[in-house]
Amino acid sequence: MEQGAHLLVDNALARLAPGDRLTVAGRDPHLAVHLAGWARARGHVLEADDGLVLVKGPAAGQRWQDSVRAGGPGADGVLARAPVSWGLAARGALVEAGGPSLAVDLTERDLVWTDVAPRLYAQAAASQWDPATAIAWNEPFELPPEIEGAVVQVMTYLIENEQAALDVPARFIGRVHPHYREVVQFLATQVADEARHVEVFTRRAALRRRELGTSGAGGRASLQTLLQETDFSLASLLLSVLGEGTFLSLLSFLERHAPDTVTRQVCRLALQDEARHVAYGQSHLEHRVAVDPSLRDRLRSAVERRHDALADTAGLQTEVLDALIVLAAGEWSPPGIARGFGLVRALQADMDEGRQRRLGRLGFPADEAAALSALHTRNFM
Amino acid sequence: MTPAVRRFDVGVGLHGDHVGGERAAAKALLAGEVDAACMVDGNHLLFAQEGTLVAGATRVLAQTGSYDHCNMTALDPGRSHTAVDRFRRLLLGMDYGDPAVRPLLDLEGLKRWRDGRVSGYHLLEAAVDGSAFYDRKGALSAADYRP
Repeated sequence: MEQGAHLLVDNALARLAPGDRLTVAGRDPHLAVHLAGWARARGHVLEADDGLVLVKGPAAGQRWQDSVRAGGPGADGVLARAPVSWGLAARGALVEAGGPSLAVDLTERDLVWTDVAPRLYAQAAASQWDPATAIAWNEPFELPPEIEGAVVQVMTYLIENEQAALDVPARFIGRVHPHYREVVQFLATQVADEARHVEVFTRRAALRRRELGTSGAGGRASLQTLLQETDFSLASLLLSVLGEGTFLSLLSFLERHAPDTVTRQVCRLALQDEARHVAYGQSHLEHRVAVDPSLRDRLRSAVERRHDALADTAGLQTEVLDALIVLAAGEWSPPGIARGFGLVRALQADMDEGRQRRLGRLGFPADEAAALSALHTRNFM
Repeated sequence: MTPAVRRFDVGVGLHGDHVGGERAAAKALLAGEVDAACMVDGNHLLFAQEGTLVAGATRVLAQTGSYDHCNMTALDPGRSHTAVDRFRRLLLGMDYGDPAVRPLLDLEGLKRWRDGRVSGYHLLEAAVDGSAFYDRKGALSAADYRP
């Protein structure tokens, strides 16, 4: 018993019913002493008249009599509702009744789920990149001061936006029942993605200059409204579908028109990650709208509410919009600026078209999708 | 020669039985400070499993018969019979299958409560008397007792 023999006894007892007898034999001189103490602690009775005979007690069965199997480990084992009494138990585990309840409120599948969540998580896990090696930080380049300044301003703007995109899923992770494991895992990769984006945009901003650009109060007011949305699906719409969806156009624009390799690389890598975030938010909302079409009314209200909240703010600061024009111009000359100006106008049209397309996939008619897209924040995210 | 008794008073009388005193006794035994140590059978096993005692390096000299390690004693049951009876019924009603009370029974190392018994304590009584731990009126008389 001093070296694990209780496992052998337990294993033999497991096949018996309470009240059944098990004869135990062994050579250890302490066997009778130890078996008695062990059996008493587990509610078995040791009869030691003629050899050592254990009478199995009911405790083991009593412990598990109200236990519940918490779904199954695979995606096909996901249940429509997950009780908070399951706590942190693994999906698929046999959960003993009792214990503390988990303080989570997103306990229904449809509130967070999409069937592509397992696949998107797997993709995210396989696509993590190392900021230290994925970008050619030492690539030599020298930009005219105005162009470098524009890149720094755009990076400064991106950093605060990515910080918001990090905060929003991070706040929801602790609210999703761990039964919906793939959702939690995906959100965790989203947070890790945004952490890398904050890092690489900061590093590019500070690559040639000691000082970063400006942060406007209007832009920060817009981001603040994202943090204030406490409904998971509404936050998915505002952040992932509309905000990060708009950023797909922006990052793609920057990847195409940025004047140096480092900026193009950081934007390309961020773009790949953001596309996954948009895919998750979009597919989650398509799932929810399919099971509850009335959600569209709440989605519409969320866009309108955010627009009203931001009506008296500046939205995108002038410095950022101007920086995008200069960055796209790539040179400080009237024809260059004119070209950049045209490119940024085309970018805004592309952003609008993307938002309308995604809203259309959520079942909004074209005219309504156009109206809602027009209400989206001028800050892009 | 009368053998000297060394006590290992850890939390005695404060919150019921305390494994700490028996573990300290086991360590003293291993260190050669004492010739023998008293402990319940389950702790001899536990100390060997956790490594406090080297497995197989000690032997059991003698064992008492079984006695209940925990008893609820009402000092004047006549005065508050209803309360005592209710307390007894509540204890006996604790079901190990009930998830609300199971953690409490686990903490106490029990699977269920049983009706009170006063049998089985004669050796313990003789030892307590022999070491003059209490005086004849039941007051603590061991001068070095530090609970």
